[in-house]
Amino acid sequence: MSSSGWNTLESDAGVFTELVESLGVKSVELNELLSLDADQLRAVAPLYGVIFLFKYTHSALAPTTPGIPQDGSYDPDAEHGIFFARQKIQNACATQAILSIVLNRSDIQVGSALTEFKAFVEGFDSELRGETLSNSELIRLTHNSFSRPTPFVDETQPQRQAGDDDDLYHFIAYLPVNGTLYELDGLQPYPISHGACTDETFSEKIVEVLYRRIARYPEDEVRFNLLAVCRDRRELLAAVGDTEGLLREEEKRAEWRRENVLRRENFVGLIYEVLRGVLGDVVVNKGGVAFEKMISDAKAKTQKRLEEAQRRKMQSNSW
Amino acid sequence: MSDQITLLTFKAGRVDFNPPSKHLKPLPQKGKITVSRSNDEDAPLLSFVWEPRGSSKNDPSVERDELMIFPGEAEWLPVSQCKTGRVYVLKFNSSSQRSFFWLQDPPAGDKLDEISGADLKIATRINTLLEDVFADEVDITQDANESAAPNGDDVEMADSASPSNNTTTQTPNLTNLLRSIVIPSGESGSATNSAGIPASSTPILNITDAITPSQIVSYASSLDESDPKLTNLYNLLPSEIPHNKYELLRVLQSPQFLQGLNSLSSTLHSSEGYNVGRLVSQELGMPYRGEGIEGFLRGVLAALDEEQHPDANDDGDAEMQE
Repeated sequence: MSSSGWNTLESDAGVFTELVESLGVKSVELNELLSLDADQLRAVAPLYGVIFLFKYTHSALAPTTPGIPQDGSYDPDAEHGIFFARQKIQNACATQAILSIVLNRSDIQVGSALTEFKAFVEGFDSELRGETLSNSELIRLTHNSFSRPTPFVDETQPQRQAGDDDDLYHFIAYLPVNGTLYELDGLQPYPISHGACTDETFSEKIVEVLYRRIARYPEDEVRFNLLAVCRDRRELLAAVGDTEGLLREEEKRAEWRRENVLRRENFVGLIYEVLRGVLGDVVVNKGGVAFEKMISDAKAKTQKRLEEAQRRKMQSNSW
Repeated sequence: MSDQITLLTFKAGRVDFNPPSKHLKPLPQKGKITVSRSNDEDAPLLSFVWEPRGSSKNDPSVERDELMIFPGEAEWLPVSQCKTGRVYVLKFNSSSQRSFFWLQDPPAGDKLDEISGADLKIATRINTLLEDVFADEVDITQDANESAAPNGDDVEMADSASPSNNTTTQTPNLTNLLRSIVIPSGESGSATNSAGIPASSTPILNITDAITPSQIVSYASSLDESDPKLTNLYNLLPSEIPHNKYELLRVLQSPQFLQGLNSLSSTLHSSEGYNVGRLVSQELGMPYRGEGIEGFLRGVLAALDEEQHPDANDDGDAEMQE
């Protein structure tokens, strides 16, 4: 799967919340849930759906398309009543999962651009919807505006740096639609039904479904995250007059904003300035020889890390 | 140690380099260069060995020299200013290290000083391997043999000539050489290194190997409120961040700043011939001191130097002219 102009995003509730807002969606936020617990899910009501994220350490564990789903059943007919799109671009994964939720809720105002998009792809099959999504300039550019800038971008160089594991993850959306709990996974051929479910019973049912899913993987090799897609908490707290709660929410939002601001920086100017300062002190206090020593110490450190990595690699390869 | 696979060998002598006078001095000993790699596919290191051959093997003062080179780290370039012989330099991108050699395979035809087609093929092969250790072999060995002396006799005669005396041989006289070559002031000097993996050939992989995040934070923390350096730092903060020390320190300790250090390190380190280091130094308005993180740090130091000694002789944009 190519990257085709879609950048990788950090998997963070603050990033995704600002992303949906930028797409025009109103009054929706995402929150990370730290445990798989029905009470926690109920605490962020109204809950529109959840996004289940898993990161795996070996590509051998990458989700493949089995003949039948490992849990639940394919619902080919649902494709037309639901927005479901095949995943065409790995890096668009998160955005696609989020859209799978917001475009399937009649109680969310998604804004004019996404309403248009949804109408445009209404008659398409899931393959074509996926293609159209990956070709959507608006969605792609908005998505990319949340990615980390690389300093002095050189198109001839590969986008990702070595050592990143952010290509080994997958996002899946779950939500109740038309009285059924659906699993929407762009790598699967159809939406997967997990049986009858309403907004009221969703919190309980999803916990069961996800527990079954987690149990299928060896413990140490996959990491899971759960993001709840819910209504903007500030509106609810304001409505019930919970000023303390509202204050906490505003602080949370301020922190998200700050982090998103920092994410957009490449910091090259600031890095240069602080390095000048540090080196200035080194040379003033200890002379030019100290600089050369710093360089050779740095090389020794790099050398040591490489040897360590080589040793670890050899150990893991031994029988 | 896993087995080594020999990729290329050819006859070459060493050339000594003297930074203060910028003299290149050919050493007369007979030698050969062997380029090889490990049998292990997971180790993309190129081994570049110079060792004495023939009678020079008996000279205890002549040492075998080995360099282990990462892909993209170095280039094999002709020293074109040298008109009296076939001199090449193994030039490292991320440090100021240079190793000079002169070709000892007899040249084609009677043009003793000119780089031959065979030399070019060898050079191309070396540069290909320096980029990609596993590059497929294109058959050059036949051509090399053609232009080299096919018999022992010719080879022996050519090799035994002393470089400084006999102008009819193919050995170069380099004593008047190359004052036009300007070597960066950080030049480590000797063309020959001790055997093994010299530390100077390892590029630095991350800026934080040289200057740690906590050193950065300590530095910023130590600045007085009235210090203009502090104001400069505030001005470099993202516009929505308040200008005070608390916020500055928060930013310097944030994962995003650390990620910025990693990104810049990675960009500088893997620049590999794209001259990113030069681009960075232009963008920042600092002197260019070579590629890689070492080049970048030397540039920062040079910028400090300039600031403190603005009237000093311009050492400007020093680099080897090839």
